[in-house]
Amino acid sequence: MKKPKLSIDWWAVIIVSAIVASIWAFSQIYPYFTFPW
Amino acid sequence: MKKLLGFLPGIVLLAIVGYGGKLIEHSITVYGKAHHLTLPNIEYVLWAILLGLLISNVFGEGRFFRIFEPGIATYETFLKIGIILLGSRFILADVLKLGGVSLVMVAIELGMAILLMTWLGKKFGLPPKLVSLLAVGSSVCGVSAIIATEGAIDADEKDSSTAIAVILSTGALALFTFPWIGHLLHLGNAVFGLWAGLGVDNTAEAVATGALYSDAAGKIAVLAKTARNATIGFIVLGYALYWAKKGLAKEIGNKASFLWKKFPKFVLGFLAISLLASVQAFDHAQLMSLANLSRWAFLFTFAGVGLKTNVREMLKQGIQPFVVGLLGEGVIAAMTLGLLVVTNKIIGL
Repeated sequence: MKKPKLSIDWWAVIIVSAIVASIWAFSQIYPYFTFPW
Repeated sequence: MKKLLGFLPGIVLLAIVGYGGKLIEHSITVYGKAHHLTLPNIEYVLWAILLGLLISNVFGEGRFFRIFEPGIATYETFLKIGIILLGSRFILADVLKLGGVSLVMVAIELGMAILLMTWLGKKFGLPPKLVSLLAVGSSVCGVSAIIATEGAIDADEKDSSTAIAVILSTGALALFTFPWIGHLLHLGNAVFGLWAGLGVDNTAEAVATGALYSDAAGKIAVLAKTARNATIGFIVLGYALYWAKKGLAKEIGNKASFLWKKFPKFVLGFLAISLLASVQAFDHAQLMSLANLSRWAFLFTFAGVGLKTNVREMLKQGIQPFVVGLLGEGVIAAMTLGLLVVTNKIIGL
């Protein structure tokens, strides 16, 4: 059986969840770090 | 792994074009300061789009350009990522207020779009399903709404590619005209942001138009557009039922599952992040990081808007749908702006 493909929307939600988790984890080590623009 | 590597050249190109736009803006500012010149401040958004347009329309036909295509197509993922991350800059009360205003406007816009596009379509002798696609595209959310409706009403692929070309070209036009009109009328950020979010049809172009005006207007344009996107399922369902009743499309089985399937899930991500920001789950530094990451994601998106816009492809679709699109969109944009100005006077946006 073919695996169902995840839509772009779900990918975006998954990627942002990973980003938020990483930022949270990183800020536990470097509390004042901000990602530059 | 091979598939992932296939995305790489295009993503690198998005990064180069986007960052190139940022560098051009910066260089002009530095040059102006060094030579004591007052140069017009043209945002990186426009530079990135123009740079992308130039590259894709000069080299787009070349066979070597195909290597970039899978990666360029990821600009939509970057757009969704940018929108979800931007949720961190809204508290839920703002989302409800501006989102509510947007939803009311969407309902009015939809009514206007259906009436106007149907009338114009008949005048210009366009096929009825193409008219449906144009009405959905101009009232809800451009390309994704058209694709969703195409499947639901069994429309011709040719009709949907024409409708997409019309929506994209009017969007490209809005990028240049909306900010100019906004400055001419001295519109505030909230009114302009809502206008861009409600008047420009494709999400990427709507976000870019808002960002071209100001950072604050860009933020509000994203919110208005997200609210508008959330209605996609209902409108597609309405059209599917209409064409099924006429016996020209498949019957819809379970309506709730149809709605869920068509619902843009990134809206849930946007609401979740906004909820987390509202309960102060993030500190100041974390919020800054999220906002900056959202800007980077949009930078890739704007590069993609330029790189995906192929002027030659658009010209191939024939002139009539464009005239209908342009007239319809022009009237809808003007009426939406009128409604927003009045709403602003009454309740203050």
